Parts: sequence; C-alpha cells; structure tokens
Amino acid sequence: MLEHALILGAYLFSIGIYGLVTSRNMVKALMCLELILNAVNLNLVTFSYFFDSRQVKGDIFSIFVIAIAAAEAAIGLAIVLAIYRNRKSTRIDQFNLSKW
Amino acid sequence: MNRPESIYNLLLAPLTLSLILGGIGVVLLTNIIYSALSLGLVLICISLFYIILNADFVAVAQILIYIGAVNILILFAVMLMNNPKYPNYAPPWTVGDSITSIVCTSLFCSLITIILNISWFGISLTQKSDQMLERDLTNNIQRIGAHLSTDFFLPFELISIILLVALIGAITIARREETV
Repeated sequence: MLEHALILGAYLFSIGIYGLVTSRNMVKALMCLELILNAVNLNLVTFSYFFDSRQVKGDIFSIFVIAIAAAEAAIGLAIVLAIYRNRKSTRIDQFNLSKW
Repeated sequence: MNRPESIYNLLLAPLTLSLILGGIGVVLLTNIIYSALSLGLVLICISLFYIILNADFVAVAQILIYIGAVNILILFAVMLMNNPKYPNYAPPWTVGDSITSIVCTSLFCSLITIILNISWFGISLTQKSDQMLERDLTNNIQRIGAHLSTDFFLPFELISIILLVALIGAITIARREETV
C-alpha cells in the first residue's frame, strides 16, 4: 500500500514534468504544474498516514501546499490573460517580452 | 477510526486506473477543454485517495480549493482564451519532446527502483511527542487544529498574507486597461 501510493505519486510527478516542459499552450503548462503539486501532496499525506499518525505533520504541510498552489494558479492565469490580451496568442515559445 | 478495509481495497484498483488515464489525458489530449476536465478527474481521484489514507480534512480541502476554485479558474481561462480565429500552427512532435520523454521515463524508472528497494518499515522515527497535548485528541481535525495553532502558527499567518497579496496582484494584472 505504501509503495503503491508512492509509485502513483512518482508517476504523476514525471507526467507533470513531461507536460510542463513540452506543452505549447500556457494554460496546459499551468495544469501540469498543478499535477506536480498534487503528486507532492500525495507523497506527503502517504508518509503522514504510515509514519506519523500521532502528529499529522504531513497533512498540515499539504494544506499549506494546497493554499500556495491556489494563489500561484490565480496569479499565473492573470499573467497569461494579460499576455493573451496583448499578443492574441497563447503559444509559449513565442514569448520574447522579457528578452534582453 | 475503524477503516472498512475491504471497501477501500476494492476502490483502490479503479482509482489507480483513473489516475493513470487522467494523467495521460491532461498531458496528451490536444483539445485543451478535455485536458482541463481530465485534470478535474485527477483531482477527484486524489481526493478519494486522501480519504483512503485517513486524511479527511485534506480530502475536503482538496475538493473545495482545488476542484472548486483552481479547476474552475483554469476552465475560465481556457474558455476566455480559446479563440478559433487564431489557430495554433505548432508542429505536433519536435526533437525536444523525444528528449523530454526519455528523461521523464528514466526519472520515473529510477524513482520506482528507489521506492521498491527501500525497507520502509525499518526506518525508526523517534520523535518527542507532547503527551499533555495529544492525550485528548482523537480526531484528525483536532490534531491539525492543535498543531496549526501552536507549532505552525507563523506559517498560518503568513499564508493568509500570501493569499491577500495574490488576490490583489491577480486583480491588478488582469484588469482591463481603462481608456479615458
């Protein structure tokens, strides 16, 4: 059961990294970032259940990760919306606004 | 808490299958609305996993925050930016995709090897437990509440400030420019 949950977390993490690196749409990259954060949360809660039943510190950490992920998704999507309004395209490899 | 083991073991196999398919669906589906709905399926399955792992508060928080807010926000953004007038002329498969798939597959295989080769229950975790505090706590929520108000008080307050700043920042960035 422990290895089962950890392997699922590892699978979601690697799929998330693949999607984050290869996606050309910005919103898809943000969705894959949410996948990565959920994989980390799954690991934390798994370890909290199997090793730390008295003080559930893994659960508390995963609550903080959920809150941070929500804030970051909001700001990321606001930035994507602002760029889309400016550029009319969501292709991630055509961004040279910050180029120096 | 008395866990009904047989129900949870019966639920484990379809949950794993839908997690695997949902993860593939988020990354590989070309229609981005299907991809966002597949992300919602992944989040629901993870929430059910948390219930199996006796983390009921985190499961409900996941449903409320991730599915109820983040996924809805992503769907909003997808609907706002899904303009068929500007089609996406991207090549479907580049060299970078192959390199990334090799790297991610090797990462996954190395993680599996590490997970299966560690004797997890041979690790002895000695921790000093606060006997006075934890004697009366039977509920998961009570334990989380006790720790949030004593040990993790500062991160709790900082999280509220972060959420306030993120809210103000997102509204400021996404605000429509007013032409006077």
